[in-house]
Amino acid sequence: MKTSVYRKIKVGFAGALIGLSCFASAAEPIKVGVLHSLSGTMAISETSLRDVVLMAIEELNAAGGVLGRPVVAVVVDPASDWPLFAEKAKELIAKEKVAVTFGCWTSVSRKSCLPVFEEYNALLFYPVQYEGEEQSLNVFYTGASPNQQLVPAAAYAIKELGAKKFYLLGTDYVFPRTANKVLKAYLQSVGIPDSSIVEEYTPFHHQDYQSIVGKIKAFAATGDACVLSTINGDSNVPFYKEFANVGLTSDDCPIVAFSVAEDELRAMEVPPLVGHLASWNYYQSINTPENRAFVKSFKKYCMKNNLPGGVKRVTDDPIEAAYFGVKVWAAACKKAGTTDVDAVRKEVYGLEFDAPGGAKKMHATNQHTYKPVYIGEIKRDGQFKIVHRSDGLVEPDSYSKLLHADGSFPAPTGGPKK
Amino acid sequence: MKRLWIIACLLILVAGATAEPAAEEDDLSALVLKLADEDAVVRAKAIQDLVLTGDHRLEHFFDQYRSGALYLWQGRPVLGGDIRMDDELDEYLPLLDVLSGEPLLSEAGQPLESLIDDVIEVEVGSPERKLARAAKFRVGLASTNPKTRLASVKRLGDPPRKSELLNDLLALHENDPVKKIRYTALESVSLIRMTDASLPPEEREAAARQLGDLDSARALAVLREMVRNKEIPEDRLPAYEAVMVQIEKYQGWVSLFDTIKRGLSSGSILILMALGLAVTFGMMGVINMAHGEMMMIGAYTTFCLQLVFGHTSSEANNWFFVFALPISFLVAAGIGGLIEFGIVRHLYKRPLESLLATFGISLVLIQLIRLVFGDNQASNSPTWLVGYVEVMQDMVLPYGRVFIFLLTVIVVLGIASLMKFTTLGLHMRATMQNRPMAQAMGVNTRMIDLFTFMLGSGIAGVAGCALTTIGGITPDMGQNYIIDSFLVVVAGGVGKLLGVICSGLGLGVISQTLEGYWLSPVWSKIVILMLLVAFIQFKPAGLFPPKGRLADD
Repeated sequence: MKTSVYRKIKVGFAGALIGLSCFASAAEPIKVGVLHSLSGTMAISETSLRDVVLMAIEELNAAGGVLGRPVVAVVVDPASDWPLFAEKAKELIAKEKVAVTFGCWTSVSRKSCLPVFEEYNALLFYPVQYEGEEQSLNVFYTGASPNQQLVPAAAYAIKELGAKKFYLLGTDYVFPRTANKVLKAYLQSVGIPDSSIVEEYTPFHHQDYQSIVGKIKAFAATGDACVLSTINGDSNVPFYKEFANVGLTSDDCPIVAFSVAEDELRAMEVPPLVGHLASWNYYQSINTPENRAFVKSFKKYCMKNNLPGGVKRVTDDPIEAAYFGVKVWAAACKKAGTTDVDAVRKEVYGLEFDAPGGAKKMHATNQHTYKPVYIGEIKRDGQFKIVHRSDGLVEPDSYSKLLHADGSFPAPTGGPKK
Repeated sequence: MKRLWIIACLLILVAGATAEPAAEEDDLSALVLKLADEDAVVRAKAIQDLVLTGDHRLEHFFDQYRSGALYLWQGRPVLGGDIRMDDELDEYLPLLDVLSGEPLLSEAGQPLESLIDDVIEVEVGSPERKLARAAKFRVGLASTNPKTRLASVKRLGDPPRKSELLNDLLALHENDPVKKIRYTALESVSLIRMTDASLPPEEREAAARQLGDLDSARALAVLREMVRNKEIPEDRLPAYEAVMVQIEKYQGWVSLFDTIKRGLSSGSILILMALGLAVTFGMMGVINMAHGEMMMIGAYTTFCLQLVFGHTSSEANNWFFVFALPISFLVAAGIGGLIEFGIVRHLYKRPLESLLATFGISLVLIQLIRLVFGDNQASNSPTWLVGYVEVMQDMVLPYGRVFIFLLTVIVVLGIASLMKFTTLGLHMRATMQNRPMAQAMGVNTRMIDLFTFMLGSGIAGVAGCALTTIGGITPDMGQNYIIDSFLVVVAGGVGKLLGVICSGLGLGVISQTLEGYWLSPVWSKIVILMLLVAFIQFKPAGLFPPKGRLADD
């Protein structure tokens, strides 16, 4: 009973929203879905993505909308509950009839709603770096694939930091497990012996890193070791604190992190992290007029809408990827002259565009994005100093060439109904 | 050509003698300016010339330069501080002196800053970064700061091990006032000699023996690799193995020390968390699922005080923590009191309902905090809890852990004496043992319930405050500890303080031993849970079951 009242209120609210926007513009609005957790554990990261997607939509509307029609966002909250992602996706597609959905952060949430998008032949823009090994015609991956983040970082550690021993440390779930598989395959391919690679996992929300840091200390005593960290979320704080508190520094053993960006640093005590590294495709500190304008407008947007953090809000890699995802979709709609999924998909392939962090390109076939790779060193103010840039854009792998050495990739899933 | 130059520079860099006299400021400034030159050869030469001046203040400069903090401002080299943003979102860079790192002052004595667009960032390429890094450790040997000297001495014994600086290291080994630096200098020297393939085998073996006498943990790791890579000649292998056995013996003690230390530390955190629960669950029989959230509230109180006192990582104001401990106790106790008064009080006879109600409260509190504070928050520990003390060689005690251990001891003693020696404690025990009888004797059991619940919540608040020194602050941080706390209380025996202490320490030491020697954290958690299930089968009432008539209830 309760739910039906709740639903009625919600429908009424959505109706009112649509009514309002219809009033503002004669053309029928285009509805787009925003599928990010606003409560639960992942709210910490995903709320920022909702904010930037709404900002991008506001910008689209200010510039006259898409195909002359205003864009209306339908925001739902899957509450960090993986099966709920599938339900909410279904609600967006079947009930709200959205033209496209921007959403998901964790791989498990994406895997959960993927069948829904494939069943309805709907479109999802997924903005977060992930473990790869997936290629659905119903998803555009605007975050990094493993060869655009993991492999360049390991190569940097070997070449520039002189690392010969690697401690692969991660939270125990699909991204770190697959990421470490790719990393291990890469390290073996460049001649690092198995005895110099340690793989270790901790449970989600692990707080006590004493024994692991002890092991790293012994492992790094030779002075040529490095930690490649896929530790996720709130476990990072106790890990870095413990690391610093037993007297280890980035000179003794640098940590290269794949899940620590500016938005995470905002909520961490930075001094223990200074000098450690991260690998991403975008940093707030990219010093171009376009990026500075983007950072400014995001901060202004957060201030104007009284979002928590306000002017202290920062941009980072997933935020940029979520932002340009909206712009890519709009550009493809414009070229296709319709919001029809199959037509839009065709136009996204090979699309070249200017993102805040610089020019980028969509892949011609594999649904992923050509991106530059940057290695950044953490500074005292929670920003990154870019210490290494890739030569131009790096081509994305949907399936890792390291894990499929024979070149036999599975066919893409989903797509138009046969 | 460029590469040759860099190699040549690196060689000169490490070979150059430590010159004592500080160069003239102007000369240094002119050299620093050359770092902004377009020609890589000029830049590399400038770094090398800077090193040759031997000015120890350059250690800080090289570190800043390497991390990209060198700027040109009106044609003059400056270091940039943390960027400040004004209300218009324009960014300003505080200007600092290149050598001292102190703020530059205008003629009116105001600190200078510049709009970010008006300064030119000096680009640091990969070769310069490498040179600057080597240079940093090179000039760090002469630093007045013992920490810098220690880092330099240590780093020079790490790969790539260069023998050029042996004399400088030996000089430090003989003359440095700090024992740890003397030790590390000798360790580095011996490491360089032991791994130097150009030295005769007997000298290398002698260096290895020296490292054995030092019980060097670093040497043990290097030796293990050498044995694995078969770098040691067959006939000398027994000598090296003897050295390894010697070091392993000492390091065995170190790892035992570490395991006990970690066990005590995890145990003390568990006890601190479980104490409050032992009070509410053990004495009142209320399963308070919102107990973890009382801890979270303590942590957020600490965070708010940190804001009030303006404590940041760059500007420490450690007083906030002195106030944070009692205030987190009071705030958590106050909210606990509200929960007891508003909800729990009406559900005393219905444990299942009180469980569900408190679980609901915990969810409400988590989301409320998330709405108010947004998301994770940065907690900056007071500076005196950052760092560690080395009690014996390689045996390290982080201050934060020691603090939590001592805090636990104090809280436990406090609770115990409250129970034992005060009238209030007497009333609490009386109410717990026989409520109608206590009432008949004139004890206001309603008030006692309220007080007990507040006390339990308050202790959780203190635990939350203490935990900010070793972990982060998140809205759902309480959830990470609530299960473990229940385990401790149940295993210890409901209502027994001594039980909580024994089971808390026991669980801490067992889990750290498992993790330290045999299992990954994931597996150690599984094993612990299985052990506990088995334990409860045999001792359903925990370590210290109630005795006598109380056991019948």
